[in-house]
Amino acid sequence: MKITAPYLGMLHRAYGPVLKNVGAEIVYPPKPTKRTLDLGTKHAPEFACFPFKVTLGSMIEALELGADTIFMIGGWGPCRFGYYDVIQELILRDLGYQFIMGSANNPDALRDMLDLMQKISGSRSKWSLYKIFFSILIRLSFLDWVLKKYFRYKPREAVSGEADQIFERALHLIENSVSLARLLKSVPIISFWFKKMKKRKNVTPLRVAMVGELFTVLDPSANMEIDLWLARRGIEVLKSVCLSDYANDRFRFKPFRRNQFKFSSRYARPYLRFHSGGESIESVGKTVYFAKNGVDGVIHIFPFTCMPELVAQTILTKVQKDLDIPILTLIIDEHTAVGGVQTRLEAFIDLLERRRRRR
Amino acid sequence: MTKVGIPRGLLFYRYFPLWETFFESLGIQVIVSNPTTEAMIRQGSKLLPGDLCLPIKIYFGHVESLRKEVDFLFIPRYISIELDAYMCPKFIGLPDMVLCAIDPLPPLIDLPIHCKAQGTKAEENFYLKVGRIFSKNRKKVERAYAIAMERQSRFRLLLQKGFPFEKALDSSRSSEIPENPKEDGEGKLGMIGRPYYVHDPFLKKHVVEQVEGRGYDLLTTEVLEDQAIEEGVEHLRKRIYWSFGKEMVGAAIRFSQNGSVKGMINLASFGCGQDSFNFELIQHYIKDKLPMLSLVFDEHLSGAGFSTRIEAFLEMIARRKNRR
Repeated sequence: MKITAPYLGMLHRAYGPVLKNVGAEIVYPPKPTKRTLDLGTKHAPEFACFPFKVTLGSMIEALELGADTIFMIGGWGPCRFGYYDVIQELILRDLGYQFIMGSANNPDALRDMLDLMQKISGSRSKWSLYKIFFSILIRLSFLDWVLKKYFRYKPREAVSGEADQIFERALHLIENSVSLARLLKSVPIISFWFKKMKKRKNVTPLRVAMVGELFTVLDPSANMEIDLWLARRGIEVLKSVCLSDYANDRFRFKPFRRNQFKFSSRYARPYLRFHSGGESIESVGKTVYFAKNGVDGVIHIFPFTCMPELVAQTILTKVQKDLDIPILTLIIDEHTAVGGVQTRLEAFIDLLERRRRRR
Repeated sequence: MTKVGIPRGLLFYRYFPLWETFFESLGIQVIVSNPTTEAMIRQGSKLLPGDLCLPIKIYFGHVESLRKEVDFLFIPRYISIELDAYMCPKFIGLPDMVLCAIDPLPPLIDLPIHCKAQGTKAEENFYLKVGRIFSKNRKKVERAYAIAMERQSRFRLLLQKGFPFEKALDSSRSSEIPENPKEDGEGKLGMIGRPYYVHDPFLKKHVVEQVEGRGYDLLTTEVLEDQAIEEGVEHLRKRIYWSFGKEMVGAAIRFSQNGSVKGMINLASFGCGQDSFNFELIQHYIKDKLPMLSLVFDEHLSGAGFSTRIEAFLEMIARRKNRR
């Protein structure tokens, strides 16, 4: 049995070492390229959202590499994401692939997730699956922590490329620390590396928040690498969602991190009073939070035809006026070109710089 | 007399008899916006980001035209009307979107209906709560709800008998159910689309009237009872968790099993997230059992383009019939 899961940010770095350690065979999906997207677009329904197409392409590429079990979370609405697995299974079966699709009806419940893992792995005991599940989540939170550090220090680096080197080294260190104790020990080491890095003097970088749909905010291959591009230009990027927070809201494994969904709902309350699927609450709530906490501008990024984020977009037009915060809306689909996005970002950054000078 | 405004859009086409009778039994005047015009669509498009679907834009056009004439606007937050299915995310955020996009507004009646979280009683509780805004008398509100539900079920029954929407709306006022006078035309065609696509005057002109003008009968998803739709979707690997999506896929599968339906027209809104998946499912399960025509509309739709395609499709169906 060769397990795979669609490419999403640093997810493969989290489940890879854990599953390898217990002897499972894994096929890593290749990093999404133009070909991945073309494959997905070719076989997906026309108006399916962008993440659907990328994950479908990613699945096809993994199946070509010999995977026979796909892990796709599943869900139960109101966003389309919960129905991905069904449609993708139909499409892939029509293409003639043989595989097992593992998905849960309610991935928010721990019991369903464990049932799903038991179904895929066969005979393992619940307790060992429980341990595997949480070690994946804990690893994920360490990776997210490193990523956050990277986005903090990259715009401040004095020697170009030093932060990237540290980032690579940190990922390598985390990948090689198998036990929880070693993971915890790597924290001060990585912090020390970042602290020691040479920094530019007397610079306060522009701070830009990225809010929106999880997949496009997180995955550089889905958002035209604008997060990395902004960081390279010396702009601090803050993200409204990250995978470990998403998991922490549901499974509660980070003792010192509060529930980000509840946190965002509190800020979103004057504008959006009910969760309308996807990351709509996070998008609105975090925009309000960031606007009140000294962020220069907000980039609202989501896939074309994303239903929850369209609700958020309508509401953000009001937030923008009320809180006097510039918001750039980027809608991503398979026809989006890097050049077009970067031109708009340049103009947006110019605007932010001018606003800052005026103050 | 208090005036409550109901925009003629979205769930109006499903629940209007219930809403109207409920408010009128409480002694409240109901004001409905005029049928959709092109000016309303333009107005709605101006208020909203471009990527939203046309029905939402139409709805905003209606809200805009209504807001100055009424004391309350009735924009309920429909979250779920079944135990295991949601409505569209845009319905869930609808009152908030209206509040953010239009200013000033009369007070909204935007209480939620959430059967998935609160059980089957949620719908009744919603109406009791709405009634409490206008009347302290609980008995009176309960009676109003009972009368309204009676009319709503008569309305659904009339639709199931094949009456057109406007006729069903009128006839449901009286307690006797007339027989359907319709004689057989060229044949029956299935119409897979949400009620707020099929009955909206703007889209009706371009699609429904084109087909009916050529002598075909259109069966909407509403001619099927809930039970029939459940039977249609029971073989899916996973239940569809959108109420309207389930209705559309279930109806399509039932139409394909029904020998007297000659073809099917799929009506989808441009950029509708759910339709993209529903029609993929329909295409997968029906494939070559029935001829299908897929039409995607948005605010720029041209009547000529649609009528050409509909004409070609109907000719193809006529030829199939003759060959057999």
